[in-house]
Amino acid sequence: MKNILILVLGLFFTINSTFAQESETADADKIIGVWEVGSGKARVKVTKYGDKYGGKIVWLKEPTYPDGTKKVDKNNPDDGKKTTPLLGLNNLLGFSYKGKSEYDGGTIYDPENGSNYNCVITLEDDNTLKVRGYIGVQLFGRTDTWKRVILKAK
Amino acid sequence: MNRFLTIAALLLFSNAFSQVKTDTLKIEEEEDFSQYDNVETSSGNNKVFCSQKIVGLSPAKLISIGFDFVGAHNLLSDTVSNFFDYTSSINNNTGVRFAANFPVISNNKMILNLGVNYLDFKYQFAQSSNNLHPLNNTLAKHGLRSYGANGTLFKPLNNKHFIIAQASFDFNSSSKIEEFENNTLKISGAAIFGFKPHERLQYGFGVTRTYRGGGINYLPVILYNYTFTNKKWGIEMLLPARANVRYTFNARNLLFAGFEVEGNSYALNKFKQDYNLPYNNLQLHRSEIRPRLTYEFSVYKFIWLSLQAGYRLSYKFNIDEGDNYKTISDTPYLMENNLKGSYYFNVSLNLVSP
Repeated sequence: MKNILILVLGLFFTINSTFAQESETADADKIIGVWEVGSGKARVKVTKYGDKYGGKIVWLKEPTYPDGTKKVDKNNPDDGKKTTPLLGLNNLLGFSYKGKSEYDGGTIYDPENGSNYNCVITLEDDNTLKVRGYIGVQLFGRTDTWKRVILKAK
Repeated sequence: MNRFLTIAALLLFSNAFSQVKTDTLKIEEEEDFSQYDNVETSSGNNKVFCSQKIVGLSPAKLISIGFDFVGAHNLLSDTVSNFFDYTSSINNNTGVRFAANFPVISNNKMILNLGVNYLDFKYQFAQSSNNLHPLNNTLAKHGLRSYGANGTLFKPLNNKHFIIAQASFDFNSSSKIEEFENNTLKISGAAIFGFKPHERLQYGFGVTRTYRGGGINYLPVILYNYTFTNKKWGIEMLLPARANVRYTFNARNLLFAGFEVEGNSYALNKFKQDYNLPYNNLQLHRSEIRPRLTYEFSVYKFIWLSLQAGYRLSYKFNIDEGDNYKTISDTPYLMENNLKGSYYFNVSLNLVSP
């Protein structure tokens, strides 16, 4: 009888824990989608890989140079990456969900100067992201507001 | 024991199950990017505000520690009270500069930077202090110091227009900070209404209350930052304070050719006290123009080194009662000194902004 009670309690905690985790996962996954950066110059698709979140550039207001060639990551300090196309470039990497709509531990890459920054992301509401890139401590940083966009059917 | 094993097994199983689910997701490698051309924002129009930067603009300095060296030159100090004019040689004039700017608010709608700065200039004369004019003696003994606090607000109104407001509070004197009196406080500021027609150009017009000419003055101010289409060349101007032509080797190596007008008013209370001079508020009106070349580059990530060399032309090194700017029609300065020009260099280590 005692063993059955323990098993039932164990099952209860397990199920409870699974539901809590699924609920947290559902909250965390709200970041997934396509977002337009504050300047309106780019759109970033945020997805999940493993237990982390990341994003890539999927749209540019000006995708080509004046001569018609596609923009590449020419400011990257790594010579081997200077010819990587900007479209498809992973610019958000390594974010973990910390609860309370906050994602940290990741980096954001700025192709305009070839720099990686520490970054913390807050989901302000379902359609608004506060993306703060910073150097070392969050005081030395800048917050950009991204808005969710919905793809129109073709 | 069995009970613990049963519970542990159930908990482990539940965690492993959730891990399997997440590990199967990957970022897609190939996709049709044209599908992202036509979108709508889920919360109506996303109002876009212009950023404070243009493409190619040199990075703003968050923390800066610098050393200034001006080579040998002469100073002709004017007659004052019962002291006659006197020419002395300055072996060098060195300065330590520190500035820190903290972006306390920095988002799409507003950027507010609060900062502090410290300057300490020392004068090394060739002659012994017994042979010096009292002004020279004061400079040799005490130097010139400035402790300041400032705030700069950048407020975009939409994607094409912005406002910049800036205010500085500096305590300038030959005294140490604990000996500062009310006449050491100098308040300057500027307000600019700006335009950003595209990502390579921003310009603006405004007014400034400035000490750059030595005394307090109110002047129009023009902001103009432009990057040419080749992205190699650019112009960075904030007239009348500074103007530079920029050449970009790459995003982490920049060369500038231009000038800066640097100046302020310093309360010389030590000068008055040490020599019992019969004046109430002696102020040194210092202004100089520095044509120069500057090379700035990243030494490690966001730490940049700035190397600068040029010529320091003294525009004003006069002393007066009060710090009002004087025009030709005004009464002459109390002392019209003549500080000769000299070469100079400056080196600074900087933490630059994202």
